[in-house]
Amino acid sequence: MFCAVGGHWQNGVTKQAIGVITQTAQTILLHAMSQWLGTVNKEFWTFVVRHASTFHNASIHCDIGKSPHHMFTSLPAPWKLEDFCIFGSPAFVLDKRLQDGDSLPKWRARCWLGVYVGHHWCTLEMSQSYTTQ
Amino acid sequence: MTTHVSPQFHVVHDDQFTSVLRSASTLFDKFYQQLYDKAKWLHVNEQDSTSDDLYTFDDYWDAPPTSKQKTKKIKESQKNTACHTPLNPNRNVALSETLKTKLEKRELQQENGTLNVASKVEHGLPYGDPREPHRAVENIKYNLVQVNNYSVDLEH
Repeated sequence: MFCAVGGHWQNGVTKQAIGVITQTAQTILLHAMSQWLGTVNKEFWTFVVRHASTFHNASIHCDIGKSPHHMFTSLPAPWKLEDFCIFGSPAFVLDKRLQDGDSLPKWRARCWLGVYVGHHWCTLEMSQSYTTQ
Repeated sequence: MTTHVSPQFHVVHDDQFTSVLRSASTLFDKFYQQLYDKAKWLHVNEQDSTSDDLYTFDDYWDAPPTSKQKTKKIKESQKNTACHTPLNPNRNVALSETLKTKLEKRELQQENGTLNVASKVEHGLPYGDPREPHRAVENIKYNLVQVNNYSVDLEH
């Protein structure tokens, strides 16, 4: 969508989409901040905006029966709604050596704690890692 | 904690935030504690306190304070907080009585012919009573003084 310089009213569709994504991201981030104080803060806004955008593109329109990603690319969205988790929720990731079949010392933590910040192109991303106690 | 485990990455997601040690109630309790500390008039026992000005909310409604100091303090607080000022049930009555008194006084003046010039002009009445020409002249002089700051001797 293009519009003249300063002619924001000519770009109503884009403005509406930005508003929807922004409000969704705001709601998700505030919920995560209230659930995990001290860890999730407003510095996560870039992740939450991308998470809200991805969630919006993967959501199927009730009348059309297609997702925005499907309508734009003529291909089904690569994400499934059941793959999404709660933004900002804790995620315990198994240590890589155990994933590869190796062993760890007996009293060593088996996993590390991360924050779920959404997935992009089916890739799980962890912004911060916390070692388990 | 959910049982959802990603097969590729061996990830366990905690969608319910059950593993978060610092729950949201920690902050809420802090806020409640601050409110509790500030709002002493809600819970502090008057007998245990050494302050003479202390009164509780329930005591105020059960037995309104009678000492001059408490009454003065309550009036000052009511002036500062207009939203907490109780409505005076006699206010409307007083206003209506004032209006009624004004109307009655004007009717009496109209009957006696003692309305000033401005009132008579407003109501479309003749300026002076033919039975009392000197009073009409005085009224005219008075109104001229009040409006134009000078008087005109109409008697001559």
